Amino acid sequence: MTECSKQSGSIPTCKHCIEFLMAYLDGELPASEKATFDAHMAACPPCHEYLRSYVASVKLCGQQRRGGSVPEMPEEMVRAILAAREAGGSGSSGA
Amino acid sequence: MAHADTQAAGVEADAELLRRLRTGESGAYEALVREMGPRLYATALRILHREEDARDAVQDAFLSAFRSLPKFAGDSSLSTWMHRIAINACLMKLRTRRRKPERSIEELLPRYSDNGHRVQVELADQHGGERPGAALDQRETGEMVRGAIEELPENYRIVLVLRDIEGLDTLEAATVLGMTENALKTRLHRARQALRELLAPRMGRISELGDVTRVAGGKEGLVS
Repeated sequence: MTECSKQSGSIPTCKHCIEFLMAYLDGELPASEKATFDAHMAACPPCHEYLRSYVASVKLCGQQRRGGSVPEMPEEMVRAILAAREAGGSGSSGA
Repeated sequence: MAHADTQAAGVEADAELLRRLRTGESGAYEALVREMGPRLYATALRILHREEDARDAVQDAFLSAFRSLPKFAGDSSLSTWMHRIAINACLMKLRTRRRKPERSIEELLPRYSDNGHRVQVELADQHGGERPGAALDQRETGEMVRGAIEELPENYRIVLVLRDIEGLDTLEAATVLGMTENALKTRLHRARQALRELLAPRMGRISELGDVTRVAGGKEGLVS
């Protein structure tokens, strides 16, 4: 169990930084507030590491779609959908 | 350039398929199902996890699309439109099925001491895979990430899946979930924090992360 050791003056706390991390990454913070975040991140290795792993998690999520294989659609499913259309169906029938 | 060419070809193919559907050309509906079905099925599996539910949702999505085709204005591409319909069908399915017991999101969020310092308690690596400690290849990484996403409480998981995997923007995701944009952002941030907590003990084993330090943000920059 460790703690960030660098906090001072107008630099926001770790809690403040982490709570507003998404706004920070999305470029939604006012310039002055962003500058204090940058200062905190530069001075606080645990928060910097938190930021890195947060961003990495989001990127790994994105890879689920881009890098994931597209499953084959079972032929019976195709036939069930077309049959339901022919029958004028409007809901699932447990394809 | 090659990417742009592929995109242009996709748009053209979409337009041609739409024309065939609107003129009632024989085989056009089957072409639509065969062309878009696999990707919609993949989306449904990511949201619902269960094959049977995913099949039902995809079928519902196609039937809904067939009924709505005459009203399709072409504001988006046919594939984007179908993707949104499939997501709605999946959400309908989620609402009707019984929830499994799930852990509290609070367990997975950062903890702070009274003076605002984060108290680091990294979770143990509970998903060592077939080769505990070894670097993970792409398949193992994918499985690990899927497993971690599945551990999130459903209300958080669905927001993360829609925004960070299916690529909906904040407004679209908020609209399909009936939430305000601010509420969605708050929930998404908590979902990402929880996912980070689950993945952090295993990050060092992922060889394909690349340079994750380039995080200078623009709007919605993280998912592009």
